[in-house]
Amino acid sequence: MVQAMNKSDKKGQNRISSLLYAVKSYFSVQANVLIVLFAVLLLVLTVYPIYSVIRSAVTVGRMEAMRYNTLMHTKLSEGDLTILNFRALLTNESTFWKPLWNSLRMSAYASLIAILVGGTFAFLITRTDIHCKKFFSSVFIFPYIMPSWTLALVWKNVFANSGVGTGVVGMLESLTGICVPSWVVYGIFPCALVMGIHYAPFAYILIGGTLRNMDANLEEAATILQASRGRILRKITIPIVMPALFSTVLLVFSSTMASYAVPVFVGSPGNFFVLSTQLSSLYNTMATKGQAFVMTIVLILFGVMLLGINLWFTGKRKSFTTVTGKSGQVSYIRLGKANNIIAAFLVIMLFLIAIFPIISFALESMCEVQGDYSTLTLKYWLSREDIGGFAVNAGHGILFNGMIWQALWGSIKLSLIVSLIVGTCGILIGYAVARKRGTKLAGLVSGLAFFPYLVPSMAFGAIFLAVSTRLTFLRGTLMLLVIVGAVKYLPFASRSGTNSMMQLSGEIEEAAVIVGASWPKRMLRVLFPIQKSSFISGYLLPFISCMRELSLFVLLTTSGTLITTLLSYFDEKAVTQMSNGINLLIVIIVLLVNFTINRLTGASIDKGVGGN
Amino acid sequence: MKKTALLAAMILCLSFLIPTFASAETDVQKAIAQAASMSWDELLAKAQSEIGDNELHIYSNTSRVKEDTFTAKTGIKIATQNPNDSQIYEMLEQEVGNNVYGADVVLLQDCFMLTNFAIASGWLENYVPEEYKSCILESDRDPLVAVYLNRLFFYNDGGNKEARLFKNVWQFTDPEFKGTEFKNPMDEKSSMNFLISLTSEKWQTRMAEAYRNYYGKDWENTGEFANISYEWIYKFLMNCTFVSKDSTIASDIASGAAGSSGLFVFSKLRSVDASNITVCANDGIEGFAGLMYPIYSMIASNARYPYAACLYINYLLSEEGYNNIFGSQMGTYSVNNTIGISENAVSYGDQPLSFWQDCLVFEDAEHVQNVYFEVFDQIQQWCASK
Repeated sequence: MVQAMNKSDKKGQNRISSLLYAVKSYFSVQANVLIVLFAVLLLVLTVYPIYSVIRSAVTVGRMEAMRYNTLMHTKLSEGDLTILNFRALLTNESTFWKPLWNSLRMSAYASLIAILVGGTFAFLITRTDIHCKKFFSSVFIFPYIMPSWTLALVWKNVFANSGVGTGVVGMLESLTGICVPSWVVYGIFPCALVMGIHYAPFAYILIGGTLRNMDANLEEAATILQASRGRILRKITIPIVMPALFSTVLLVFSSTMASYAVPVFVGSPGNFFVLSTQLSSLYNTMATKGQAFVMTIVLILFGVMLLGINLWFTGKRKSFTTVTGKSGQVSYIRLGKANNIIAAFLVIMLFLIAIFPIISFALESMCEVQGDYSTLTLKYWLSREDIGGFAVNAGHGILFNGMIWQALWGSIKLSLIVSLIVGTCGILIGYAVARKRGTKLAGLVSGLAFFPYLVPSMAFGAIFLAVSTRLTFLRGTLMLLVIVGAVKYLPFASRSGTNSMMQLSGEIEEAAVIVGASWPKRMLRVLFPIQKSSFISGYLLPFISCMRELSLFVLLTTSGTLITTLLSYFDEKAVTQMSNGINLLIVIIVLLVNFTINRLTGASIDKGVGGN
Repeated sequence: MKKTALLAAMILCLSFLIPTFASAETDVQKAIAQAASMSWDELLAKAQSEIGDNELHIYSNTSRVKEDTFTAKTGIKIATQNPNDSQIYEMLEQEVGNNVYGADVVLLQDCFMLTNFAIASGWLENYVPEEYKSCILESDRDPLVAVYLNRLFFYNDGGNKEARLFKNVWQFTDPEFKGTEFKNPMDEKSSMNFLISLTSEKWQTRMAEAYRNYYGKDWENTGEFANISYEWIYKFLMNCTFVSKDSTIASDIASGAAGSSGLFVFSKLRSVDASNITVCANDGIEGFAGLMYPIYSMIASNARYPYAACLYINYLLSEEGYNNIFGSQMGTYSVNNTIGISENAVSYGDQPLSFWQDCLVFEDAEHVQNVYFEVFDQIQQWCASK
């Protein structure tokens, strides 16, 4: 009996020790530690928002109860569970189905435009001998650095004409007398085009990064085998950039679905309403807030579907390795006589989409009377005294305005911290996902890291406001803003980190393991330097987004804390000179950061794709 | 028997205690009650000792409250947050609803939400200083209105001040005058409450009169619309263009073609070249010339610095405070009827509050309360199906 007991004890002990051994050996691999760590962290950080969105969609608020009780003679009370929000929204053609269809069309066109514009641009920069690469490459990212509505504003300023709306004469009409039809000025066409151009840098960064890093031997081998250019493009280049194409579609489609400012500027005046504008209206009315959350769920589901397709695709192809350490010299396609024509076209295009808005900000910040360039003054920049007049409480000119500099520093500090955290997490997530590719845990981490992107900023801010009322030590602190920003922008870094790591052949790290390099050394000395440009974009994209974010932070901080909350303060006061000046400052700072990083590390968003 | 007697005694004791607890004033309510009868100096001393070096937190839908003169006068620092109205209500729900401190003073609009959501939930307290009671209409005291703002019909007269292009409010529904720029009522609560207020008996009568003068016949109810106001609202919404900002509307009209029109807050006229812009009200338009809506000033029921909050409201109601914060602008009117409009406002064609009382649709809290959801739902459908 005792012997039997001893035997079973021993068996149990063996089982425990073998389990412990398995756990220990599992966690001795860094990728496993990281994947488990991020799975837990992301579950904690995303489960509450998911729960919160769903709960708000199925729970009746005080005003919703009043509305349903009045109109539908129900007897609901605050806090009751209901499906009425779903029924009210999903049976409403004009509030839901029509805007949904509009959103889907707009997002599909925007994705296509972004890929065509950004992809072609990436190809020209990385694969041809086009002139002025460095200039083109640096300037092409401007449209993404600037808030999307600035492009919409430029569009309106150029194409507005006497036959549309209030008859404001735009630049095109005043220069040429040409009046474009109203669908060019307002509606789906300008919305999709502006969004496509705004997000084209995404396509450029992601596709260009892959093109630059791909093994030139593949194309050279095909050339030796006498494959045509078109065949090489179809059979080699496009399949290799597929993950980047999918990432671009995922990011652009989701971003466009959730974008609000552009449809409001150039959509609504043409009676073109999309899901995000309807969502904002529903969200801004307490009596329809539940329906806004149902709409958020729909947006999330679309994102999840896209993400699923993306994961299925990257999971199906076991290897997207483009960086093997054996790459040869890339041979550029010679454009010959077309070089000048293409370069001239690019100069004009970039002037309109990248330089013109900046000049326009600068001029508008100096106009005493909005739009009247005969009233230029520098007082909104240089006044050392209160500007006064209609700009009551605006303080001194921008350069001597303590309020502006304090808010600017607040934004820079926040954006730097967020980008450092997010960029580093992105690389680690990328490493873990790439090494554990195909496993369920990798899929979970990759999906969860993208989830915050699918929740509209407005709702995300509100969810974290609710969190801060439970965790009061976070209220009003920088830490709260950092957490919100970090979670919201993690998708940028995790996508760029995952794409970069997916391209890296495992052989490179194995070689480092063989020579006895430790894991930190392998990361810092081997992997990071190879994909430096892509990784740095994982730091820069959150920085840029954070610098110009408003809706995410507006509920969580006071109006003088961040430059964007201060911008909305000046905007609301209609001191357009100050708000244009602040916009210009934001763009200049982001460009300076990009330039400084370029100087210090030799890498930057644009240089990363071959602008050197 | 003993047990029953004991129980009865306990119930008796509790019955004395319960009303005491139920009617127990909170610290904020006590402070408000005391502050109401204090002089400025007394209240200032109390507020200063209460707040020390800390900041008074203000939530406001208007950025104008970010005002240094209050700090200069009282030594009390302020921190403002300027979310839009629905965001303020959201913050109140999350913060005061969970008894977490966020704001002391709250300035917000939308009579329906204020009454049925924030006040009904006990998140806001009303405060009217005794000193100003006699200068404020009774109807503006509870909840206390701080200022009124107007949003008026303007048009581009092409330089001809005698043009008198808009003589009747039905013109805005006429396809000939298509494209009047207007803030979407689904996003702008004052626009929504304006349209709801229009459905009252008073405005139906005014609309019928204007209809007769414009079309030369009486309005007939064909059953398509519940009443004449609904018809105007529907046709106006179908005829107008939604624009998101008042400043954009002002600039569009200023640089637009002659005859272009829009509805925007008067104060935005200051930032555009107004030489070609005419205020419809000055042309004596039939029907109405725009809308007027209140900004309420309330104290959060869990305010940390209630005396300082009361002091701030006193400052808002005083001539000095009003002039420093809003005074130089047109389209803003103090609820304190001893304070007039500034010379700068007059130079832009502004008029005293009494002038607007007859030609603008004032937010009608009582009517809005009665018909809110019926009209809201109808407007929501019309806006979405444009």
